[in-house]
Amino acid sequence: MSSDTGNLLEGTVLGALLAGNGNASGFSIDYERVPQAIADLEHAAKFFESRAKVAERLSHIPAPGADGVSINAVSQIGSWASNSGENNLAATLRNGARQLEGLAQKLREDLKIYLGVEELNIPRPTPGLPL
Amino acid sequence: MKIRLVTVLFWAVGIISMEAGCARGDSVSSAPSILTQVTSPIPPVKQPRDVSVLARRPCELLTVEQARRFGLDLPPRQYDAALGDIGCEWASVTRDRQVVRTVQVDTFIDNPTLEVAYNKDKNRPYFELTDISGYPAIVSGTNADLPICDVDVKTAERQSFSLTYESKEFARDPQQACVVAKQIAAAVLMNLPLKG
Repeated sequence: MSSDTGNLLEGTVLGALLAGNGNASGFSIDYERVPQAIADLEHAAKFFESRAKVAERLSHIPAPGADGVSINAVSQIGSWASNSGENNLAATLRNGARQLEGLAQKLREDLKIYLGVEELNIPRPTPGLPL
Repeated sequence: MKIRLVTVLFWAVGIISMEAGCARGDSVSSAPSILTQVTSPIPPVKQPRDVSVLARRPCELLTVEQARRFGLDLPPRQYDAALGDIGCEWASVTRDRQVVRTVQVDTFIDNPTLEVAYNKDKNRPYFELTDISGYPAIVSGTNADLPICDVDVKTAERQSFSLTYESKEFARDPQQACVVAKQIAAAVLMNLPLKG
């Protein structure tokens, strides 16, 4: 466990995580495990993104019949799955993916500063995760 | 002549029934009506191309050479696109495994995809009904500030493919994602055989 981040990471996401305070109050992480956390966060973001794509497809299900009930059901399910707004499954999943990706990106930047390197050695995602 | 008259009568009765349903406040108000279908803004396809040929082999929708030209250097990966369909994803990553750009393509058969997409997506922050290499296409984005672009291309009656392109390189110029997405869609089109 490392909590001695100096001033270098003060006010950053990684600094907060390593120190176990600020926005990450309640838990802290070992900086040696940050690369794995980045890989897993990016993997999770990708998974959310792929599910968003599936949600998009749900809005293209053809009605099983030409009756009003079938057509209306498909229309309602379709707009719940995906429409132009933000209150639908696809948009929610995409927003979640963006947030996970943003967090991973911040961790990448902070870890580079912390280690004083240009390039990180990011492992493969933890085996057993979906996707 | 008699058959045509009967057909016209059925249409008329159908339309009147739907209108009457709406007047009574039945729950069909948000369903697409016959009238909407008649006035579809999606133009017909002049030279139909068959996506069904590659629907089960979606990773052949782009050749290795084309993928390389668009900077997609990882081997393509097939994915479950739901409802029994499969899609394919191409990507490229930096040396430290950060994804730079991705393309996902999946197909639709026996589905009026563009007509649905037009009604569903026309209020998106970015939306364009256009043509790509002469084929009707909808180019859209759910967030104008993100370099993510969706392209739906109608290749034949009730056939289409859907493509999503994302590139972090265009974070400062998100519209550029749609420029490249259209180029990739044009490349996919050329890999589809002409129908019939």
